[in-house]
Amino acid sequence: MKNNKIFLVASLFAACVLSSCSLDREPQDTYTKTQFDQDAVFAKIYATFGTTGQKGPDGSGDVDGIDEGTSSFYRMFWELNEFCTDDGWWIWNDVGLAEIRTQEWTKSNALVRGLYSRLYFDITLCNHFLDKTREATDEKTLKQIAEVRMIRAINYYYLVDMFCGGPMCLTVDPDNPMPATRSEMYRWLLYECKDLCGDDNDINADTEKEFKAKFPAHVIRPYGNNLPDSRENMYRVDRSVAWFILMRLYLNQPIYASDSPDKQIAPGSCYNSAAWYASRVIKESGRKLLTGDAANYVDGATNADDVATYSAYQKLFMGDNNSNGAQDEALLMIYQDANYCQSWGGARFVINAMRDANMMPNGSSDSWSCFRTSPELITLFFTKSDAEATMAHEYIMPVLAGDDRATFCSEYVKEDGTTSTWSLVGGKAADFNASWADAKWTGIYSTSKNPYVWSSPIGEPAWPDTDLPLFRLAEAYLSYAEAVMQGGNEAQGLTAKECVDAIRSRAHASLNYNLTNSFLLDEWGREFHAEGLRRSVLVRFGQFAGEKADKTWEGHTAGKEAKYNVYPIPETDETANKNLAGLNAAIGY
Amino acid sequence: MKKIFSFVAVALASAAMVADPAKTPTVGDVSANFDATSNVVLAVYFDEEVCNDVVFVGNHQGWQLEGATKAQELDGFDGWYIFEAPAEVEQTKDDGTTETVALQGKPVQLKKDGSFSWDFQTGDPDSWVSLGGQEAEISAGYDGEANLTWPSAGVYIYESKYFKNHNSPCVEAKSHEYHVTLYAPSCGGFKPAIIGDFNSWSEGVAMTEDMDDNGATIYTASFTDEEKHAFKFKEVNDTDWSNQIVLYNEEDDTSYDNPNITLGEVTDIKIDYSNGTWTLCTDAVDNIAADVVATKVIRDGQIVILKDGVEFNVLGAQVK
Repeated sequence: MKNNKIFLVASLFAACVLSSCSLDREPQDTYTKTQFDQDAVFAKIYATFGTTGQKGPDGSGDVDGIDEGTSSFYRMFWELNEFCTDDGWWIWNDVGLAEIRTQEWTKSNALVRGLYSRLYFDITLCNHFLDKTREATDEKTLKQIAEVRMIRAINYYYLVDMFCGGPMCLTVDPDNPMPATRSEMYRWLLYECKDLCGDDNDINADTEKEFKAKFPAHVIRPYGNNLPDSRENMYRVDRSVAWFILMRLYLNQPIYASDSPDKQIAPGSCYNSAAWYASRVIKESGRKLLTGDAANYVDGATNADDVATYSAYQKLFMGDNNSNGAQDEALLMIYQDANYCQSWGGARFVINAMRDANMMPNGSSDSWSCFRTSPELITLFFTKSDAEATMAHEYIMPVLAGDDRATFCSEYVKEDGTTSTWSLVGGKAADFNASWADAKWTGIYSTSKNPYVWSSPIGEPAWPDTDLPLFRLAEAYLSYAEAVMQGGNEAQGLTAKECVDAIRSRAHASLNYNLTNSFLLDEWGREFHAEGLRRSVLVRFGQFAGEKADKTWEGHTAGKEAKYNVYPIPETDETANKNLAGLNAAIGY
Repeated sequence: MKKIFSFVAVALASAAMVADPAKTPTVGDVSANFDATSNVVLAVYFDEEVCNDVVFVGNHQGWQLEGATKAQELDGFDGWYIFEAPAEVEQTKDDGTTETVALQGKPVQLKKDGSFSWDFQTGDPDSWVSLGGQEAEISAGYDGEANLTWPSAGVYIYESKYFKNHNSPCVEAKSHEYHVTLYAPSCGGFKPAIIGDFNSWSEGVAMTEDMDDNGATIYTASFTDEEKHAFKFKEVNDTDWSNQIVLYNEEDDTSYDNPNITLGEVTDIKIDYSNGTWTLCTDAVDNIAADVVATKVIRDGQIVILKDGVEFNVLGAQVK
């Protein structure tokens, strides 16, 4: 078990009432009478990334009205960025799932409501902290304020990415909030992140006045109260996290600064800025790509010692990724621990969902067999005919693919001779074996020389220790390459090719390729499958929805209506907050 | 000056023109069929043969070939082309909001194969041009190229010479099969690679190790490419651009950054690097003195190869 517990999760709030920027309003004066415990709220704000309530793994959820498991920050953005893409196919028929998989969701979808509620709960919690500490001048509190603003910005980032405008909550206020359009929210967030990392040249009294007029709750930014230059530990935000969000904002500006999901605005100079911030993350964040030998596994030696060498890429997603070097690649880690930090929406979810009992051990005594790959993901690594002839488990597959990122299982023979195979039939089949399994995430430690003979640790055998790298440095490399390919100026002496080479070299993949847009779209798929990023990438490449989206995959036909580039504001909130009337209708929901 | 422009105002034409158009249009000739009240109407004279379309690229269409305004020939005026584009352009600012700015752009001639290259543009980065009572600003872009900015709608008439980089757009580039022989120290299984325009400067083509008649180690490779294209050597399968052969300027002992070797008519290219070293070579090359790294010098801007006291140019021809 890991020892570096950092969170004191305080029991403070029971529920979030949507349709306002307020915390629990029953009884009405809870918020004013509850003694404000600054450190506890601060810890709780960080804990919202990796937990769903006041006790683990469930039983006292943050968000009322939905299943607690579907209120997890990580799980909800992950599901809504993965289930509808060519990464994989979710098998269980949970409420609202079928329509996510096939891009036919409506504003009453339960999963969309789950994500939306989680983001606004987290934002409201941050606002609560900021309201209560507004007059503070001590160094510790000022530092906490900057971190809380950054966490609020991360939550707003997901709103900008996945929705098309929504309530602008900048203070705790029992009145219904006014909405911001997507472009307004984007612009506010851009300046917020710039201020947090000290790039506040663009921010002046006029822009602040403009925001104040638009959002009366906007607090004039505290110039100079910036994030730390370097991180205190892997679970806390520093300046480079702001750079990272700025990189994403600029790379996606043609989409985010548009108020219509079927229209992108002209790019202007955004790709210069995207490349610039990517280069800062690469060169100045202090993070580094985890590199090492290629994966190696002595097949058949199931009971022998020292049979496995894990690739650097594999180590990023293993049980000891807080100490095996992966922590230095993460811009921000979400804490998970078998004993001290359990959630149905974190490591347990990504590991168990993609495994079944017929596969190699996964570092958890449980497996759910409910999320398999789509055949389209496999064809990023193999031609279709090669894939059909390739039978191997996840420790052999990278060698056959010539790419450490091919962490798939198509055949596994247990010691007793039981053979399981995974086909490439796909076809929306509710069958875990209808396409290969993705064994990228595991609870096994990279110090284990023989994953086959893994045995459950004493204590909580089902709960893995694997931390969740919310943002990885590798993304800055690919973002840089994409920004330059889109016409952005090179920055800090980096070229697009060498950035892609760095990613592929680490994965021991061939460097003989043509750097084209379609190659890059595939490269995003190879590097980031099952990390909750795919929908955003497909949208940015114009391949998710809209007339020009001609890509097809399992469950998805070409030319989906452009409105599916974003999710709608949940009907429940639209009904409860009259200020939101017409927002959904304007984009076709 | 690296690039030579001749961009001359009509008012000053008699003094500075390089070419001599048979007949120069007046504002009236140009505006007859165009909307000069809300658009910029630009008449440009090309003093070189135009073998394909000429287009106007600018901030109104994102500086791409796609969507560029195609020029129309001006009836009755040989060599004159007309462009029309909106005088005001909505442009995205850094924060994603938009602003209205003046039209900025430049005329470009397409290559013979229809492809687009910034090599064939017009403009003079150092001049202001006054025409017909209106001024168009010619400003240097971020990489020194010239952009034109029009302050308002109206008719503008330029006689210009378009800039030529190497091949004229009307001349098809010659391709040859080039044979490269590199004299370099042997180092176990290590091989150098060639990268260049011919393979888009991506993964290098590994060279074949061999011996010449005197028993010296040579590496050879062949590829097909156009004249005036360039290549260089790099250590094979290496992603670090610093591991390319470094050429030194013998006179001031400074390295010549990123030296490309330019292809010409001579197809048998010999380069002497026999006293050089490979950064990635694992076997030490004991007999190479540490300070003897370069066998090439830059003289009068040209790369000169030294071999046994004889100087060759990069195409293998003896200099002296």
